[in-house]
Amino acid sequence: MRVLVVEDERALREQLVKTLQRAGYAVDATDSGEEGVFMGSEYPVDVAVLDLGLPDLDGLEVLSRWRSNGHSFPVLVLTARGRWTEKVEGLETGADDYLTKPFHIEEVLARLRALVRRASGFASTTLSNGPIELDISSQEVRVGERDVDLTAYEYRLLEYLMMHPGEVISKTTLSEHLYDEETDRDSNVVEVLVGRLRRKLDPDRSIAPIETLRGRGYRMRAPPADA
Amino acid sequence: MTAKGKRTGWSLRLRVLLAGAVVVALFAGLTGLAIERSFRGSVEELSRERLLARIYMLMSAADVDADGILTMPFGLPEPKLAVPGSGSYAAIAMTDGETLWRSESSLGLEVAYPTVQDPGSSRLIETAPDDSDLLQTLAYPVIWELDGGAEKIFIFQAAESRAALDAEFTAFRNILWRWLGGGAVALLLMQAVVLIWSLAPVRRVAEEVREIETGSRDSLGGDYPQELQRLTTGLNALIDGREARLQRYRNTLSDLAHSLKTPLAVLRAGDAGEAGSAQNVAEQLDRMEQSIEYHVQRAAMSGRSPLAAPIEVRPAAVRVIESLKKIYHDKPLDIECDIAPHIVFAGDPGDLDELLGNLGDNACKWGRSLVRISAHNELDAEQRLHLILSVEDDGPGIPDELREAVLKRGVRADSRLPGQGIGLGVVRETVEELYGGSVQIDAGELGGTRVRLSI
Repeated sequence: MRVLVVEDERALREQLVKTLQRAGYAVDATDSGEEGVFMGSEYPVDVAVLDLGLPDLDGLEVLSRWRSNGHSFPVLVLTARGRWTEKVEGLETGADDYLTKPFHIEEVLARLRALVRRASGFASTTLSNGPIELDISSQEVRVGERDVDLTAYEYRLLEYLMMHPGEVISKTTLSEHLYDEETDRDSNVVEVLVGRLRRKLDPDRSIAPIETLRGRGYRMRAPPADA
Repeated sequence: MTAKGKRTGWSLRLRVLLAGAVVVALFAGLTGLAIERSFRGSVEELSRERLLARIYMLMSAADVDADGILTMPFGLPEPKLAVPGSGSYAAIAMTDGETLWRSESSLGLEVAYPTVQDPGSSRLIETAPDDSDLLQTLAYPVIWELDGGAEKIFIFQAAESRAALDAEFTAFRNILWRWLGGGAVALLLMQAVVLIWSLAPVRRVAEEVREIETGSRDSLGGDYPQELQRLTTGLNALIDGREARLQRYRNTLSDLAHSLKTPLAVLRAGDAGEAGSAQNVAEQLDRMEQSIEYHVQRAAMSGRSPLAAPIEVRPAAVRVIESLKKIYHDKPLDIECDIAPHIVFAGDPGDLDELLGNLGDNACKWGRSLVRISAHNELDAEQRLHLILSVEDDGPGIPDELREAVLKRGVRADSRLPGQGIGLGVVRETVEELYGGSVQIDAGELGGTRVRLSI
C-alpha cells in the first residue's frame, strides 16, 4: 500500500514516515501543499495523510484540488483545529476521516487501515480468500490453521493482491504500490516476491492462490461467493 | 473617525442644513415668482380698467350733433389730460384713422393707438413713442346713434405711461423679496435650532462612545429616545459581550496555565526520580493534552451575539450528521434528524456546530444502532424564544448517580472510549454560562442516553 504524507512539521513528518514504513507501507512524503497536489495527482496513492496547516497552500485547498482532479483515494486529515465547524468543513471538502493533534501514532495507523479497508470495500479487518486470512490490524497471515511468516514486502504484496481479488494487476502497478518514489524498482523483484509468496502460502501447490497471466501480470483468485 | 485614506463624509448636521437650505431657497424662489406674476397681472388689469374708465368719461363728455360733428368741452374731469407730458393721454378718431380730438396732454407727442374696427371690442397694447416712456394704450370703437337715427362710429382712445405702473411693481417686488429672504433665513435658523435639539442624543452617543474608548465609561447611558434605544441597547450588549469574552479568554488562559503547570511540575520533579518513568511522562502528557483541548474548546465558544439574526438549526444538524456518518462509517448506525426547517437558534453558528458535534459524537460512540437528533422552539412566559435540542442514543446509558458527574469537566462515565468527558463539560459550560440555558441527562425514548439542552 502506498501512502502519501503531506505534513510541514519535520519531526512529525519523519515520525509518521518511519512508523508507516515499519507498518509495511510504501511512503512518499512532502512538506509542501503544491508538491502534495502534484504527488497526489501523479503517484498511484492508495491513501493520504494530509495536514491542514501547510505554509504554502491550505490543506483544504490541496484536498479540494485532488478531488476536483478526480482522485478518490481516502484522505486522513491531521489538524490542530479541533472545532466541529472545521471538522465538518474538512469532511465536506472530501476528507474521509479527521484526527486532531496531538494524537497517538497508533491512532493514525488504525485510522489508515480502516480507510484502506473501507476504500477496498471490506467490512472486516480480516481479509479472507479461501484458506488464506490476512488481519490488516495485526498484519498476521494464516493459511488454514498455519501461521505464515512474511517479510514486509511480501506482506505488502499479499495485502494489495487480497484487496483486489479477481483483478489482473501488472508488475508495474504492483511495484508502484509496493515501493515509494525514492526506491529503485525492478520488475524482476516483483517476480521474485511473488515466487517467495507462493512458496510460503502454498508450499505443496494445492491452492495456487496467485495466477500468472503471461504478459499481463498477476491475479489473486477471487474468493468463493460465500466468503 | 475613519481609517486613513477614507473620506470622513459630511456631518449629519451639514447634510440636513444644506438640504434644508436648498429646499427653502427653491420654495421661496418659486413662491416669489408666483406672487410677482400674480401681482403684475393684477396691476395690468387695474391699468386697463383705469383706461376704460377714462374712455367712459370721454364718452360722457363728448357731444355729437345731428350731423355727426363731435365736440369736446374744455375742462375735462381728469385735469392730467390738460397738462402736456403728464403721462395721461386721450384721443377720439374715426374708423378711417382721422383724429377728431386729442387731449392737450398729448401736444408734441405722437401716440400710436391700437387699431380696432369692431364696435364693442377693445384692444390694449404697449407702445413706445420717440423719446418718451413706454405707454399702455387702449382703443374702444363705439357706434353713436345720431338724432336722425343714423349711426356713426367713433374710436375712443386712452393711454397712460407705464412708469407709474413699473415703479409700483418694483416697490412691491422689493418688499416681496425682502420678506421672502428674511423668512427663508428665519426658517433656516429655526431648522438649525431644531436640528441641534434633535441630534443632541446622537451627539451624546458619540461622546459616550468616545468616553468608552478612553476608558472613562463602561457603557452607554439608558435614557435615549425610542428610535435610538435599540441601537444603544445593542451597542451595550456588544460591549458587555466583548468584555465577557475578554474575561473568558483571560480566565481560560489563567486556567490553562495553571492546569499545565501542575503536570510540568510533576515531570520536572521526577527528572531524577521514579516519577520520570515513561508511564508517568505519558500520564502527564495526557493530562496536558486534555487540559489544552478542554480550555481551547471552551475559549472558542462565542456565546449569544445581540445583533445576530437567529440561524436555522436543521442545515447545521444535517451537515454535522453527514460528517458523523463519515467518521462512524464502520459502525452500523442510523442517525435520525427530527428537526423542522423553521426551528431556529439565537446564537453563534460555530457554537451550534460545537454543541451538535460534541453531543452527536458522544451519541455515535455509545449508540448501538440508532442516534436521534431532535429540536423544537418554545416561548417562555416573557415571550423569549428557546431552543430545545435533544441528542439521544440506544447505548448502555448513564446510571442516575453518574449523570451529574459526567457533565463536569473530564469525568467519564466509562473510559472505554476517549473524549466524552471533555465534550459534555464544554457543552454544559456553553449552554449554562454563555446562553443561560440548562442541560439535562435522562434515558430518553431509545433507552440509552438522552442529553437535552434548553437554550
